[in-house]
Amino acid sequence: MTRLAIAINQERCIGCHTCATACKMQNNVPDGMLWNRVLTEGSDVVDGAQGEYPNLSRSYLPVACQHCDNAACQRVCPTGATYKDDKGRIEIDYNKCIGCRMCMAACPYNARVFNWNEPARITGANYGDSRVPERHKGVMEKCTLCKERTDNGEEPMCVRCCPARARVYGDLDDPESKISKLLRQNNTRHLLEDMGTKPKVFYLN
Amino acid sequence: MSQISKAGISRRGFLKVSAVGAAGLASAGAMTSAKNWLAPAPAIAEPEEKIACTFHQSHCAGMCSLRCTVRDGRLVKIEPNHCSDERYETVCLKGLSEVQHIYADDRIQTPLKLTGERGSNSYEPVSWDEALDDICSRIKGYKESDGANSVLLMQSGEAGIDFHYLSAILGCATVGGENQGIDTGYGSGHDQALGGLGYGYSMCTSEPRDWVNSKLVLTVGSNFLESSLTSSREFFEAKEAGARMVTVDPHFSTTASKSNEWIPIEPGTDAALFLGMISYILDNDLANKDFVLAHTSLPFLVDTATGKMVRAHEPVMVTDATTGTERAETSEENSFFVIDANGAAVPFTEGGTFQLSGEVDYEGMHCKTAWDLLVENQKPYTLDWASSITSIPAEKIAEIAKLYAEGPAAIAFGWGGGDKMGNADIAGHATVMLTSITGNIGKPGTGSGVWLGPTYSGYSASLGAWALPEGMAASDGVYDLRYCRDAGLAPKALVCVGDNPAQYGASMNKTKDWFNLIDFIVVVDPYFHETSNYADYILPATTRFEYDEEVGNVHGCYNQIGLQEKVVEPLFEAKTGLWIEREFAKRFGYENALPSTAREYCDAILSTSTDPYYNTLTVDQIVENNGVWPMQGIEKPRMANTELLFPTPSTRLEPYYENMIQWKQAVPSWEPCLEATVDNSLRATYPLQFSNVRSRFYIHDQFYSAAWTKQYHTPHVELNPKDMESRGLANEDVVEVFNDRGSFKVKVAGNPSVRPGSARIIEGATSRHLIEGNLQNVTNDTVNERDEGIMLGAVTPFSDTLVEVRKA
Ligand code: SF4
Ligand code: SF4
Repeated sequence: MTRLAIAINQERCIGCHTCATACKMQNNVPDGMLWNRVLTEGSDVVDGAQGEYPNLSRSYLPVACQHCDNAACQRVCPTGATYKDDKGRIEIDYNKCIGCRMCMAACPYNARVFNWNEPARITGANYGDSRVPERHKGVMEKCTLCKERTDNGEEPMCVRCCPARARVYGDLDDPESKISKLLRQNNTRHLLEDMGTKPKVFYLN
Repeated sequence: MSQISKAGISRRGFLKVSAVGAAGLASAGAMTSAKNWLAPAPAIAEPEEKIACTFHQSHCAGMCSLRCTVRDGRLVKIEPNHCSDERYETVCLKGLSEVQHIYADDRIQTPLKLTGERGSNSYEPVSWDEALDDICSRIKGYKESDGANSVLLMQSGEAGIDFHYLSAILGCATVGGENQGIDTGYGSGHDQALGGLGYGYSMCTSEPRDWVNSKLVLTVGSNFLESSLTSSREFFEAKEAGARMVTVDPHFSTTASKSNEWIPIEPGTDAALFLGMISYILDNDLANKDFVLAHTSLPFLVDTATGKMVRAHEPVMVTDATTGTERAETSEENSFFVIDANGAAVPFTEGGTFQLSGEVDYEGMHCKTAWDLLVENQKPYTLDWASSITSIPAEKIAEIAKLYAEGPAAIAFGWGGGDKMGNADIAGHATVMLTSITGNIGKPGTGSGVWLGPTYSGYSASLGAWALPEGMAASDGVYDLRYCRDAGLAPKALVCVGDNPAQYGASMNKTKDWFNLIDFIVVVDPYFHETSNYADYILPATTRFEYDEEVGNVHGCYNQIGLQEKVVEPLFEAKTGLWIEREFAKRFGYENALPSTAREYCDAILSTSTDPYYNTLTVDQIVENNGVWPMQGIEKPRMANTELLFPTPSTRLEPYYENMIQWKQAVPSWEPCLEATVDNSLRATYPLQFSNVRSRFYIHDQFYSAAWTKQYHTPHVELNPKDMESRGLANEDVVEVFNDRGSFKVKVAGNPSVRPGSARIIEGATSRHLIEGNLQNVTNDTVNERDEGIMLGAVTPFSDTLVEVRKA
């Protein structure tokens, strides 16, 4: 079996939004949408902090689809458009998606974005990897774990571009993979652990 | 975790975060939009794709080599290139944003000629020939009637990568390499001791890869993890290896938040911190006296009456036999003096035995060592004094000083923080004094200076050059923007490649008045900017992604040679730097002086290198190697100053500045900053220090029109929530930031990371991206009184500014 996963070292994450931009570019994500967002934890402004000056702390939290082993979105999808594939990734079959947005409501990570209108791109043209399928009005989308890249042995684009090397990608079922070793050596957490979603995005801090 | 789940992951939390960036995607609509200009790519089944590489910004000094995918003639994807070492495979959000940014509405699309009043923004498109003929004949006219120095070229560092010869072609005045007042505050104060190594910008450090050898990396006033974000890996490698990363900053910057410790400091008081550290080190006998004796000028004798170093004869300038240039005498040519083991004043010879401390009478002079003068001068700068000035607890200053003295330790300052305060030269001088008394230089894990930008601290390739004919050169005129605006000294014609007048000139209303004195302004740039608002002609240049030949440039990048290939054809009517320069050259009678193609230029740059490693390298080899070629020896980090030999008269570190005696700065002495002092009475009207900082989102005024970046950030002035509350302000309110110099309008955000009593904004936003006005409208342009003595002149104290903020 293969279970593809990402680990994010929050100690190293500098909140630079390079991963968010890399994802947007690679996957032809339309204007006004992001599959991967970099949050400043506990702050409603970018690069804010928790606490009162000078007793402050800040941590950046990149959030995209958590590729849950026990995925809430998948359970509520009435058409089977949202599915877990043979590599453990949660994917959307855009042809089967009827735009009911049940998954969007179910996802506790707010990872899904919906094409309320025909997608617009400020460049006036598609960008990114030509292997990435186009989406249209009425269809849900979200991080695919760069399906088109990871199917071909490449890292997801967010991992490839992260300047702080805060992101590690690999197969959890391969004990020799970089990610498996990393997870053995470090304490990690999941987001909203208590929801029982069993994510395959791990956070180190 | 539970807090995160409430604040960060709840849907409301997300929506709030997304709302910050939701604005801004609407385009400003300058001329035709990129959308209209470029027909949408047809939805054909098998689009044509190609890969090409180029290098990116020299201004952040990342110069990342980028692997670009082009589909149907458009740039659609950018990735880090494949390099000899994965370490060099970097990109940041700005690099990636180019997929949109090169097509942004802010691109200048065609040559434009002003048809109305200046500033009216009424332009008509004209042909390149028409524009160039008119521009060249007018420039020639000014040169004839008013002399060569009546024409001024201002060119930014970034533009210098693409334009090589313009000042020589025009034979006009420039702003010179000195006295530009930017990025040289700390550097000038620091680099004088190194005989000018670091060029006054303190680019004199080892690579950040060496930080793994440090016990302490003391970052002061530099937001390294944003300004130099592709070097963040080296920062964390050091931290994980056990280096204590300590960041001193008035604000809780990203770098502060990722360090082991953040030490908040009152703005403009960095020098007081360093002076306090020096006192602690001296008082507790922590100085490395062997180092001081062996490698610094501090044992040299000074005449106490004049403060001058005792020399064998009155110093004169001499002509160097090998270089033919003027220089100071060496200590062999004109001895310094020291106190020997018997207490007598004797000429200094390297290797002799002498004393660090002592007094002696010599030839009618009462002399002390520079060391003793330092010790005396330090007397008032106790820990308690430093604490009262900086607001840092005395014990903390002591702790950092002790760690620093133990070493190996590095002091990393920058260009975007305290460097913009009016007393930055003193802070820089004090850092090099710390280096001198502890020996934290030349060894692994040490150094002081600016580590930003790996291209600056990495290896350099001795590439060759294209030789211009004899006599083809800029004129001798040098304009100093810091003075010429007040003096009413303006050229007749100004050619700007880059946005220098607006970026360099504090107090923008003075720059506007200065523009009014100039008959004719020409702007050449890929993008509209502030100065282009005042131009008579605006000419479109290409970006680093466009070329009209297969290969456009070769350049030294971070530890590798980078190649600029044609990624896409020049967009709109934009032309390459070489094409534009050749057209100017034709009209100025230098038709054959320039390379006829970029390929010819690249071949020459490689083949004329004196180093066989590079002069045998060909462009084709680099093309085959993905457009990058490793420099020599890069397996190990480049180490600076390992020989401990400096281009000073004594070849030692010379932190005693006798040229600064009249300002009592032979050794660093406290002077407060100019305007943003805590007790300035102006605070009653303008209570907030105006901090213009650097960030990951922009480089100076570049990337403000990158639409993808606007999802994360749009210009805001940030205040501490307490200062928001006392002014009745809420996030996203439009506010006016003002003082007696002027005002501008922008949105406001409350952020606890901002020091109470400060208003923080990211530098560089022009009136095109603010709600009204340019942020330079309020900045302080005072030139400090030490200007004449400071190595590259006084820095422009942009952040040494007081303002008030009110709801607009
Ligand atoms: S690219 Fe890396 S460092 Fe930057 S925000 Fe993403 S995870 Fe964090
Ligand atoms: S802006 Fe600098 S760090 Fe970012 S991609 Fe360009 S060169 Fe690299």
